Amino acid sequence: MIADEIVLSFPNITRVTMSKVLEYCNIHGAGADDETRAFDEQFVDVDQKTLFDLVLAAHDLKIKMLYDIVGERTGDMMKGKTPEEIRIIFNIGENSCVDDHPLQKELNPWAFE
Amino acid sequence: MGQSQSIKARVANRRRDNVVDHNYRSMPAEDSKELRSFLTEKEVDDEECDSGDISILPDACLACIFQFLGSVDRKQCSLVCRRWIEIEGQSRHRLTLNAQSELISAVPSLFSRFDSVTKLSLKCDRRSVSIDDDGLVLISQRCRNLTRLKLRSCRQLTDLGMASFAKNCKGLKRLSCGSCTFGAKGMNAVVDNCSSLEELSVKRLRGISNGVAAEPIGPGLAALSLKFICLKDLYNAQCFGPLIMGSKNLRTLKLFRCSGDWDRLLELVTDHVDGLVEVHLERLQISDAGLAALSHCQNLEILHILKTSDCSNSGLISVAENCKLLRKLHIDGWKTNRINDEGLIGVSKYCPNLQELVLIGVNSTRVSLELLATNCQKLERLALCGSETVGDAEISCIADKCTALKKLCIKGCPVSDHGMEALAGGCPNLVKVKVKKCRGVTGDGASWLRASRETLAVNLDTTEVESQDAGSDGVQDENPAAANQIEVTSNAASSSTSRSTSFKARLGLIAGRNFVSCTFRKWSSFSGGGSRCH
Repeated sequence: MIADEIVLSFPNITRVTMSKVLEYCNIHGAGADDETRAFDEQFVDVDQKTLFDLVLAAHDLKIKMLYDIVGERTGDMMKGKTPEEIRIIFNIGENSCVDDHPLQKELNPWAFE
Repeated sequence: MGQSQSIKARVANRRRDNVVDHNYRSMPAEDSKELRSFLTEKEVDDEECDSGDISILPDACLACIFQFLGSVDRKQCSLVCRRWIEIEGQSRHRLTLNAQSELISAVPSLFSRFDSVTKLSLKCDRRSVSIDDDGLVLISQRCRNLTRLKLRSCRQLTDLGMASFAKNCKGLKRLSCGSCTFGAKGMNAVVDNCSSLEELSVKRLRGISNGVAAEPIGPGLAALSLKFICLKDLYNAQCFGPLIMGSKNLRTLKLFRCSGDWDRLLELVTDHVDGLVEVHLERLQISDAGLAALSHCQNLEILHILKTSDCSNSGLISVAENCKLLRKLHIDGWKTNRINDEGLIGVSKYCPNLQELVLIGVNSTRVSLELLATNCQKLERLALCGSETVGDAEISCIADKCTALKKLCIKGCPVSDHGMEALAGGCPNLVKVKVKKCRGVTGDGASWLRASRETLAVNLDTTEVESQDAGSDGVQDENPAAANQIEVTSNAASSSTSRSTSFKARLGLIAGRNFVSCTFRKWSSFSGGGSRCH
């Protein structure tokens, strides 16, 4: 007996993350309004691990709206910060520092903004 | 501020330690968490591990995240680690460079790092020597996919350089050049090679003002793709005639302060180009014959005729009669009184779709305003500036009849507090009122109006009115702290998340004669969305 259901598997997406994705999709099913905006604000206020999992999931599942809000939230964490501070926030090791990257020196005098 | 000082000290120490020993890994776990907590403004929770691993995100995701950042933030991100400098560079599509002559030496490395630039600005200041042809050619070889180029004061560029550039960047869609010195040959090279060119803006191109018989420009391959042409401050702008005439798909034409008589050329243009939707003419020698030519553009929706003193009522009526889709009309009559009630009555008769009307130095009275209000049922934005005849009777009339009006702006007119009273009882959809330099309107009148209509934003600027405040004269609107601006905004508008565009609009950022039209530009061009789409 062949099952009528189709099973999709997403090895890169945990159950927790998937349930959040589905929650998002359900809320946004009817289109954007004040309620969905309020939901979004609260939805992206999560820890980094959850946030990055959502970015990946939205990327893999190609859900643009979700991708945009979690991407923007991640971007917000970088705004107005120095490179040092960004490394601390995202726990990026110093051994991958770019201070002596050959191209770095060239840019700054010529970049206008 | 003890906590922040100690954290800054720790950051500094970390840096110092790094210089000393490159093998030094992370700082002690508690310190790092505390720092992270401070920087991200989140609570430190020992049980919950806040930090994720951003390296799990593929390059494409990081690139997308960077798109939400402005140039300064992107620069900072590029200094974080090797991976980020590469991704940031490859995903940066928009670049602005200080185009001094020395830039050429940085070009190879710059464009290996930024290998996907499609929108480039090369800006030099007036005092420095700009990059030359070799520099531009080198850049064009590295940026073959350029879609937009902006040049400012790149005076060393010649026709030859522009020609080589054009051959390398045939996909160019937008060119904007200001204060450059190349000439018609260079411009022709662009329109001959760039067959996808959609927008061309030229301001002060010195190379074409020299010589008695300037070489004609266009049509070239670009003519069929051009949708937007803007020419400003050119002596020999008429040599662009063939290009304008040949641009059969042209939608927008803007001519500002270009010498010569334009009637004949406009006749030729409108014979060949019938799809014009937006036309701006400012300080141009054009008469009713030119306006009659424009009336052939039946799709015309936006018309600005500013300081064109040879235009009179009959010219305006001829446009109105034929351009029934007209929805935005700006007239600066320069107080010559050649355009007044008569012309405006014509507009009211023929243009039912009018949404926005700006009258500067035009003596309109309630005779025409009443008809405009009655017949133009969609009129949402109205500005009356520098008119001796707009008084309380006119405001009453507007209040009475302009049912769709949302925004009203009055500047330098003999309106008084009685006019403010009239507004209290009319214009049911009014959201914003701005009154500037009207001696008869006092703070009391404005306050009274605010009190009677809570949802109405009333902005009264009494800068020019004689007052006890010293130093109030000549204060530019750019200074938001200008004490004389009394501003109370309605609840909806005063949220702290307003974008900068609407903030500037509320403060009426541009002073002087252009204040009104610029305010409207900002009002009507406001678009939401903080992220840039590349």
